[in-house]
Amino acid sequence: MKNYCAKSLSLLFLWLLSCSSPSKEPAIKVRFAQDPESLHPLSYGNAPALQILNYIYQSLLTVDLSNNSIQPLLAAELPTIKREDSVSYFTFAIRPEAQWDNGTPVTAQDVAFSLKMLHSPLLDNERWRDQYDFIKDIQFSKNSPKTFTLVCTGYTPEMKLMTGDFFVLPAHQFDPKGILASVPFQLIRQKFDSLSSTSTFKAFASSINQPGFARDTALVKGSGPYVLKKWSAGQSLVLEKKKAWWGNKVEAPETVLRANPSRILFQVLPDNAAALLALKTQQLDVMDNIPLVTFQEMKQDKKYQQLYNFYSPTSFDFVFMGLNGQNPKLENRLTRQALAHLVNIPQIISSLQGGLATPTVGLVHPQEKNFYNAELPQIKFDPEKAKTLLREAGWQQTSTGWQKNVNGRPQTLTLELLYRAGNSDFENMSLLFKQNAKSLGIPVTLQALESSQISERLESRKFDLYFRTLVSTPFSYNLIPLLHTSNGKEGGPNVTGFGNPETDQLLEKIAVEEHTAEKALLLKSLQKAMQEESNLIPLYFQQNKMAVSKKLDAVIISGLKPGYDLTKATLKK
Amino acid sequence: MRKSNILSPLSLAEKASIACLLLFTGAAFISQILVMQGAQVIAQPEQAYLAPFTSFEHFLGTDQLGRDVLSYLFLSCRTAWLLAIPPLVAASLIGVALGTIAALVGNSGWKIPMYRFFSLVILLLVYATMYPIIHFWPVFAESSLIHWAYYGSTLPLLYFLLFKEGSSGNRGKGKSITLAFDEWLQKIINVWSALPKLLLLLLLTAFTHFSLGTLMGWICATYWVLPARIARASVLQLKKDFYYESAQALGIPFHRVFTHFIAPSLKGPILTNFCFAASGLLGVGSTLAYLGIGIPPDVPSWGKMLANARYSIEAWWLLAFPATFLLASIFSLQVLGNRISAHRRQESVIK
Repeated sequence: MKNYCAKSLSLLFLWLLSCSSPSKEPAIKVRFAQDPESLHPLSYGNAPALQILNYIYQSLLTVDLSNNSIQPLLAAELPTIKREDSVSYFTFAIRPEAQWDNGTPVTAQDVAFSLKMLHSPLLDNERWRDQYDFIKDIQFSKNSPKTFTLVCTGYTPEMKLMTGDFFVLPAHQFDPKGILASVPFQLIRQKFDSLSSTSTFKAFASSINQPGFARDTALVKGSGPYVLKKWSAGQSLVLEKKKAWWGNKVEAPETVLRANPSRILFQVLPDNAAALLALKTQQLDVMDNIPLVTFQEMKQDKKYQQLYNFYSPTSFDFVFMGLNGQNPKLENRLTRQALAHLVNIPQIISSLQGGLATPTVGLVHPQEKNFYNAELPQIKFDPEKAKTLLREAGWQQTSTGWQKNVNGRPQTLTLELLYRAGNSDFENMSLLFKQNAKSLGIPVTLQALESSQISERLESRKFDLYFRTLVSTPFSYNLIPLLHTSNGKEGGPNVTGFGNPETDQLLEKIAVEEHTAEKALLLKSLQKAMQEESNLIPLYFQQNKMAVSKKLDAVIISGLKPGYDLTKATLKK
Repeated sequence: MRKSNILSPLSLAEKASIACLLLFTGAAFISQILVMQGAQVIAQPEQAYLAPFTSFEHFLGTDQLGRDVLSYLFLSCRTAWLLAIPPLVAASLIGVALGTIAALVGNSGWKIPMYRFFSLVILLLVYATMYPIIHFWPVFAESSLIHWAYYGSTLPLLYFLLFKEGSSGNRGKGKSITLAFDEWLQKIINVWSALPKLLLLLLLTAFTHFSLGTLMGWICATYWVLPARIARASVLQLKKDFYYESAQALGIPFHRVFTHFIAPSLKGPILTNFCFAASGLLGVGSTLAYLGIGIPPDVPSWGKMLANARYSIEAWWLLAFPATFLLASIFSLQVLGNRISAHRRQESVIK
């Protein structure tokens, strides 16, 4: 009997063993500092969400991170552009192989549906409505269902990327009843308010706004190479490569259509210390934004040198100190210039950034040699010069500090400096600035606030100074929102009150100028004007600090967000 | 029978604790004087992360900004002391006052004539209306004297309305309102003590600007509960003793009853509570600084140095030295609290 039982059990084990799934190829493990929270293609709210969405959905055009060039992704080629007076036409053709997961082709109708989604009422799409307001209409080709033309208001160089920079969504999945298909794009734009009260749009909006489109693995699906396999909120996300992805069938695929890793695991580790522990125990293959001291220590350690490649690519994250030019104390530009002389930028870069930052004279990255004003000298740390400038601005040094009559009332030069709580770089920079200002007799109060509280204070103009990072790109120099005087009113994005009629003119010209030489001249003049006004004191462009496992080959490291491209990477066996 | 004496021979640990606390207090006082003269720890980023015992100038090394660790820790004594001792003294005084009043007047012993009660309500309304004018009207904005006068003026008015002859008892003519003081205090204590102290402090500091003064105020507002409970319980027990009744019958004035009977019996438990609460507060103050909440970034604190130690494993001195200072002062207060508590137990056994 015993013998019989033993034989049966062994057979059972053998059967179980033969049934177990084949071992999967190991995943590439990437650290996320925060949970994506929502993967809705319209209402996602943070950088990790965008990073994931870029693996799942596709746009017509993309930026190749290896050379920062604009490349066609869903589109077969870059658009052909035709300009007529105040209108421009961008004609696209979608790749013939491009198709959705159910085998139906990606067509111009899907593009029209996606544009309608960006402008439909009752959806969470305010930011897109403003951003893509320039696309007036879409015209379909009679010859091909995959060809169409976007009709745009005016022409700016940024449109070369912007016209193809929105996710193309599957109409059959988001709108199975075809509600939007029957409403022309122009009508949605024109009758926005009246459509919002119709029952059809209300029903459509409630179906689009359902949480499933933000997190359900069955509904978060696009034409991209990956599907969302699993999402444990606050812990991890798993992306798996589609077995029958259309991009695999393309003959001689371009680099943008390559997707090598079969699985990518994103570990959500908000705490830096926990993430570093995971990195040191090789539970992560890719980690960015490593704190400086740890980065330097790991880079010097032979043990980690064998395990990881360390990179510090320069990024387009511009760090600056903002001054409130509308504040009576800082109204005079000489006062602002004096404060600029109290920031010791070389010291900040060498000691706080470990040399891993690029000094700059303005908003243009020094890497952009055409546009960067290299002739403009950097403002030097010079307390004596600051003193002279303060005196020229009408301030007088007394036993109680620097005093001046502002609007008929005596005012003492005391300043409050805002920065984001928890940002140790900003805290250290604030402490150094306070020390420098104190040596001159200017008391500075430091105020660490949450990001939303800082935004609130900036919008209501109740601030003196603040430290912030501005994420820029080399593709757009449309600085009108940030620097034009029309945006300087309370609530507008020009919080520092920068600008005068001349700089406004410069900004308007820069936004539409196509020729590199002319644009360079205009940008250089703007950088000069910004330095004279000193509403924004430029500090540096950050360098990312990354570690990538040596198990990975061909990871592309870039200065553009998210800083790396994993789709070309291969995992060594 | 041998009389117990708090000054009876001290053990080695107790001697060390007292010495440590004296040093801590001395350092705090000297730091306060230095800060008033404008002293601060100078940041020299070029000298960041210097190891300890390598130079005489920076004996305990430097931190990430090149600040001298020894000077930083010395000035941090002031922060720790200011966050633990003055708010706790104030909280104990408030607690004892409230607890004693609650035990003595109970739920029916405090009657206020109707007109005085309404005057009180009107007074509070007037002060509430004046608040934005005093705080935000530019004429007053720069004068702190106006603010002091504004808050100071409430005290005599409140005293007059609540305690002045005729306000207690029912000597006054007309209707009067009975304040159920004990019941209300019990309710407030129940709500207040239901929340953990650290959580309560985190919540309260979120509403105000970060400053040492504000945090001291919030600590005071959080820590009055236990002294109030102790005082109430002791006075209730005392009220039943025959000597207290005799004192009342003899018509001995309240202040003498308080100083001769109530205060001596409260002294022991309040002091014990003070020592343990102060040691806890040193930890809480450092935790808040570690989290970067409540204390301004330019105020040196042991907790802040511990927080900075997270960024570098190699800079062990940023963890070891503040932790030693913190633990030494916490243990000293605990040892002292234990001694007072043991002395009380011994005394009650002797009795």
